[in-house]
Amino acid sequence: MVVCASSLKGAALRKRAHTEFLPTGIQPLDLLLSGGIPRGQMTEIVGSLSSGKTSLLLSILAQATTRGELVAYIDSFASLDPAFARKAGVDLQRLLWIRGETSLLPEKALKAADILARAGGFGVVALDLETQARKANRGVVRKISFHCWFRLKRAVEGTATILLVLGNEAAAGSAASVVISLRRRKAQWCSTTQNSPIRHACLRHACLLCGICSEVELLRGKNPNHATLYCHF
Amino acid sequence: MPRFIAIFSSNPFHTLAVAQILSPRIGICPPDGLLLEVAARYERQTLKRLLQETETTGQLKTGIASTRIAALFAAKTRSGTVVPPGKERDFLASLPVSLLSLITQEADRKLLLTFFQWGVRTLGELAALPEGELAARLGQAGLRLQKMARGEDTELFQSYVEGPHFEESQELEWTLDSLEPLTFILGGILERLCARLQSYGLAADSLQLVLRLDNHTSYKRTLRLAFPMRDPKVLLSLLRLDLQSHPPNSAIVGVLLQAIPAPPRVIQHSLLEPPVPSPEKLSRTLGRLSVLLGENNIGSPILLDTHRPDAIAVEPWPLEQKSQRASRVEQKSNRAKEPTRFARRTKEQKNRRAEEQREDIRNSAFDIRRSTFDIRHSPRLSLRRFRPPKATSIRSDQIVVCAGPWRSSGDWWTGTSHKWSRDEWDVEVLDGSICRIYWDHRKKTWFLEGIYD
Repeated sequence: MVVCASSLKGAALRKRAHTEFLPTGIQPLDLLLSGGIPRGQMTEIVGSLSSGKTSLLLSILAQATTRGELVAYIDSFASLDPAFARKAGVDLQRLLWIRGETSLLPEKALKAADILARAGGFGVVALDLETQARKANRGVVRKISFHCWFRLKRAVEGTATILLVLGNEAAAGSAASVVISLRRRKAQWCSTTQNSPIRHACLRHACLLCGICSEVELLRGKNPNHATLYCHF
Repeated sequence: MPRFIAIFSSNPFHTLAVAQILSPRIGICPPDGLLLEVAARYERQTLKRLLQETETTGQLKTGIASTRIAALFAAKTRSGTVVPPGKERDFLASLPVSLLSLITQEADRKLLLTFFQWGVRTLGELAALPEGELAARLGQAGLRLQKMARGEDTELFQSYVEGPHFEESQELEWTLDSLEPLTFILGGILERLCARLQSYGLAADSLQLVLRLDNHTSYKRTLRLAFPMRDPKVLLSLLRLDLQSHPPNSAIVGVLLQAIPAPPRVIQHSLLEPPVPSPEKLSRTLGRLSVLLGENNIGSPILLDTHRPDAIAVEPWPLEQKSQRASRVEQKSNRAKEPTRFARRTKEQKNRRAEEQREDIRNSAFDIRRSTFDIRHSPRLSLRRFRPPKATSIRSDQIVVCAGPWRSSGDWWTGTSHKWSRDEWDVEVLDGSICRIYWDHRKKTWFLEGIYD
């Protein structure tokens, strides 16, 4: 087949922009993600209760605010604790907190995310759809149609804004470029009467909650090699 | 040759309004003095008219002279005095030097004391001093006072110019009962207003909208802007969002829009910090979010200075963000004020982490075959709160591990509803979730405060 050179004049070849990443603050996870959370794309962080997903989210927000970026947190159930956010390193003055009085309907939360994603200028727009703690709202996230998710994905495409969706299970389907799953492995309890940490919950009454050990798995990403790592929050 | 009428009035605003009718050139002498410049042949006629117009509003002290300073002295010392042209120095010669402090701020106490020490008691004696010697000892301030003592003006006359009013109104031929046509009319009004503001080099600090309704009432809205702006599109969108949240209760027959002017904001972006969105764009975004979710649900969280649990407030989000460096410094100083309990935990955790890291390095468990690796890392564990806390009845057989109690109480001295007294526990329940619960001593109930996640 002979291709005429003149026919290629009208075809403007667009070079794909180099993807930038925002580090999560957890170095092994950044290695797993090939640099961090990709900008201009949707990332889902899923896991059950006490799996460490909120801690991971706050770590990402802290990284963004440390770099001088503005972040928005759409809190469907007003569950954010600003004291813990500040301890995680989030600059509260750069955090726009959007919350529902008792609860924020998923439609309104998605609309708010759409407004913020299209407005531009935010480094991270985090959408918290964690519903497991609220039994009455379970299943509402599954009813969100795919075209809503794709609309959100298109809103951040080509921008430097990261759209983070927090939930109990992956709901965005193929609209999410990266899906990080966290699974609680064990809680770490310490006793000040002993020098070594308690590795098995054989003692019912401990003195201090040291943290949570979670298993982090990359379900979808740039290099989904199904590697897992353990994070301690 | 022009003549000056000096007026001191107990009601300067009314006097100013009357003076503006009588003469186009008016000077202001704070705090309550006015100067009118008139032609010599109209001085008495103007003064008579002024006295007639202001006789009911209060007492006036007046004086007429060929120079402003002489007219002011005449009004202050002998009201109604008319100083003949060329006789200003003679008129002022017998007046005491201390009167200078009533007319000008340059005659401060130190200068007057110096004159007293020299034996200069009257303005005539001050005027007779040699200029060179006076300048050598007191500088330009002394020379200016000497000129005043001679009845000479030291500055050019600055005529008072009333500031422009930025106001546009429109009467409607038919009533409007929806927002869309009103937006179209407001758009036109804002275009004209912003063009006028730009021509004066000003911006709008706030907008006052008055809508005349068909039930013969007025509906007023004041839109306070975060900073002066004059972009008609941004102002229109903010006005529209405000009216969407607070619509009038009747149809509209007239529109009046007033802009309060202010100098425009000057900003300089930094080359070293990431670009932030323009405040105009941010204000529009926040306006849209306010319409969708309510004003009270959007903002920046702040921690209150108290040990009361979950003591937070939400303040309006600052549209102009501080520089990265300034916010870093503030964060550092805020961390030093954190409650003792968390500081103690952090120190204990740090010691344990360091010990565990040393142990891990000695016993490294890197398994290449399974591609798993155990890395010690500690971003802080966060708590997802229930607002308000849920009453719960966790049984002891549901708890796997517990830690506590930590007793805290406070605000019992304020006598308000904020006082609290509780025992907090961190518990791990059978389904694996880790919760924070507390026993409320006042309500005698267990509450679920939040879940660690």
